[in-house]
Amino acid sequence: MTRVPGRKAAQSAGTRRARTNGESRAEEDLRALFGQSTAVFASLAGPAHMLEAANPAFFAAIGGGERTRTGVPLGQLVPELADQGFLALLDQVYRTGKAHIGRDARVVLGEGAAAREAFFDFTYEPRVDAGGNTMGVRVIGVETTQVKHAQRLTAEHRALLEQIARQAPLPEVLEGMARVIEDLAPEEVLVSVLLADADGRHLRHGAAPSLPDFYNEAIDGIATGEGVGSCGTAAHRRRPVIVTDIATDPFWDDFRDLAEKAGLAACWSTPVLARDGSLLGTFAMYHRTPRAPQEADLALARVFADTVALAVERQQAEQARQAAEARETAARADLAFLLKASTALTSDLDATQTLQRLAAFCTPQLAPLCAVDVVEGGRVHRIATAAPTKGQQDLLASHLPVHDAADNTVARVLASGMREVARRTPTGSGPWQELGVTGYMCIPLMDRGSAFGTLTLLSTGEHPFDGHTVALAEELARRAALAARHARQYTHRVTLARDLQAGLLLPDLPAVPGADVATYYHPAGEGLDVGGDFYDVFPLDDGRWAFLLGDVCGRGAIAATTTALVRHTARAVAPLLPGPDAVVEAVNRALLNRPDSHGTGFVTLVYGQLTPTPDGLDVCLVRAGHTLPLVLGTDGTVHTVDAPGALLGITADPAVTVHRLHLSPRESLLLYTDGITEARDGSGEQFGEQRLAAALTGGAHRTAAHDVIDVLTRAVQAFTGGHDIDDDQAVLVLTAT
Amino acid sequence: MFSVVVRQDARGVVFALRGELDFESVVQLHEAGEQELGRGPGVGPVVADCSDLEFCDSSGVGALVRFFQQLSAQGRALRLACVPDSVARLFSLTGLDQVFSVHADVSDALVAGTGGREIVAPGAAGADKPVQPSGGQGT
Repeated sequence: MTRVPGRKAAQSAGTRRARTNGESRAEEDLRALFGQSTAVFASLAGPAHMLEAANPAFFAAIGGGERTRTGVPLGQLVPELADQGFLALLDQVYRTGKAHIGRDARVVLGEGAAAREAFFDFTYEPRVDAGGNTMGVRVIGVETTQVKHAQRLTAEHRALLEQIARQAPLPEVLEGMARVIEDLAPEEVLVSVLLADADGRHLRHGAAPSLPDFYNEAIDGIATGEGVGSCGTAAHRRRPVIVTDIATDPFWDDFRDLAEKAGLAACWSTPVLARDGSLLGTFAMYHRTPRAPQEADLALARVFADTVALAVERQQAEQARQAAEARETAARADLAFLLKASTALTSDLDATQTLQRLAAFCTPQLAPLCAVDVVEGGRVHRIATAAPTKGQQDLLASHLPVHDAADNTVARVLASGMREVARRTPTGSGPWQELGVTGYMCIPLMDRGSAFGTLTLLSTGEHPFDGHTVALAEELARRAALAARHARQYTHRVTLARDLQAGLLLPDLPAVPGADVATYYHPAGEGLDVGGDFYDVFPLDDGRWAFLLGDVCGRGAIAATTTALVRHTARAVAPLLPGPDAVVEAVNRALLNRPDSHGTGFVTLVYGQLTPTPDGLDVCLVRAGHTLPLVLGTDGTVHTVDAPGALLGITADPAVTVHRLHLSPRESLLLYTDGITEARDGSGEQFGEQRLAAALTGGAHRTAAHDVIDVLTRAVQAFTGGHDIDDDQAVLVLTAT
Repeated sequence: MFSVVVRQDARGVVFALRGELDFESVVQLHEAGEQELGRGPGVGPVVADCSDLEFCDSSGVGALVRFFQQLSAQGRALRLACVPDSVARLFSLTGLDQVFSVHADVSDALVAGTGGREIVAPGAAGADKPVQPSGGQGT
């Protein structure tokens, strides 16, 4: 190997070509690794093996220089051969006249520091004159050193490629590669691989198993740029940079002392480039003494720089795939989280419980600590908190934000309706120190443009809120606010319906002399609406009592106003009018005179008056289009009371007629709405009058009004089989005592 | 099952009601009624032909009454014809047979007004308060 003084930016490498035509290049490089297998030839004469003639390859092999001369015995020209038995072999061939062939013979040429090991395939042939006498020996040799090295290197290289294909961890691949090169190099070489940051501006430690740690640490993170050692410069130039002597090279001005301390004298660096030409890192070979590379060295550098590129790109592709997979998983998880949270949030029909669920859902997914505050009656109420421990939760719950303090985060967010996110404790007092709060996110809970509360998430330790968490929390808060609003509306509506209904029915049944009274009322559905059925029992002035049971066409608020109209009209006019027909006619007039906005639906009604007598009750009643009242006799029989009369609110004359009857003790009068007879079973069949009569027939032993109701409601329930009740049901039973 | 078939006649409109008129099916009568009301006043009476009406419950009564009120507001009558016994009982219980004029056959119903008892909702014929078509008042 010849030394080339100074530095040479290896122009032979040129600018890197795209790797599409790089395959043939790689083959060239691999061939270069096998070297030029030039044959050596020498012609020796006489028993002293005088060197008569030799080709230049022979002189190069024995060291060149002063050794490039003929007319000298070989033992004198290359004295080191004597000790290795080569001269003895020559003597033998000269003496016997028989050729000798040696394979992969090891020979050490040169002496001391300059000594080098080489392998040769030899042939020693006798040179014979015309008379058959041996004149000398002809030496023909082919050096196999490089071939042997290259074969091993190629095998190792193939192993590395297999490792990369198996997606072995990058550091493992790089370190293994560095060791292979170091082990196989004929001289001591130290390999270093640096990896570029994504922006290509800095180089990070990749693998350098033989360089000292202090050296690796010192160059970890160096910038790429002109004059930043061999590697920084090579990375910057995107071309190999060969520094043959670090001691004198200006590129190493800033690192010379470091290199000296590490015992490094030369550094050849090759950039590692991706398919698209972007920088992936550098591949460098260091030497303990100043030296210049031969073509085979540069070829080796190129082959392994490409190998590094393959390994890095493979790893980057794998990382990108994993990142994409992680992103997709995260997106799916977000969606699942939101869906689950939304379902849970909307399943509650109570606003406070909804917001308490919100707090529970935020922890620990979005933050370790969470508080929900709601403004009510001009004050802030902390209605929910969540924390890892009960103690922390209580501590968080014990702190109330001040509503009107300008320096309070919650107050500010309530006023502005704008979220706040910060990497510090919320402003205003609070147990931030005790809870170890490091950041907060305060999101308004909005209802039609104004904030009615806030969701506060608190972070602890190294857990800042990223944009993703903020977006998720905001979406969750939006859904929770909506769910809370719906829950509040639902609650208001149920309360309204309940209050209205209570006002329309009798809170307590009055004690009626001579009569046992029982009622049953069951509204349809979930209790969101006021039902259309109603009943009433009230005293008249002269010891008589009035009772009524009716059904307003429709449900809800309009039905409620009609119910109120009917009941209050009846109560007002009944004491003033002579009989039930007059009262019902008055009710009909009131209905006809309703403003349209109060409804135009009709009403069916049974209205009656009862007078206690010594032996039961005298009853007179009118029926206006309503279901037929039933009389339950003491003998268990059931009779219908048929009094003609049309429904009310439609015509000026409902043509009602008064029906009179007497109830002996234990006889009952039963009034019911069509919700009873039209109750349906699973197949849609209606309960009907006949089943009703059958259910009540034979109940002679029943003495109390509520027993009648029990029997009736049980019969209906048994018939419907728990099928949803889609109409109101009302029953009034008067039993003579 | 329930269906309404509307048939124009020189003397008015015939609604042939077939099947069971109940909570589930009243919507069909509402729809047919709305369409008829859209034709406006002056197109004669509507006769509900109940020949094939097998069943009617309180919802059906509610729907008929509502249609009656809406027609009355246009000065038009709703008459019943050919009411089968099973349904007649409910019409009788509720007094519908007193509110509506009921006829033995469709032809009679179309030319009624002199013979049958004709009640028109108060206000429809120039009384104090016209009855407006009501919205969503079904039972």
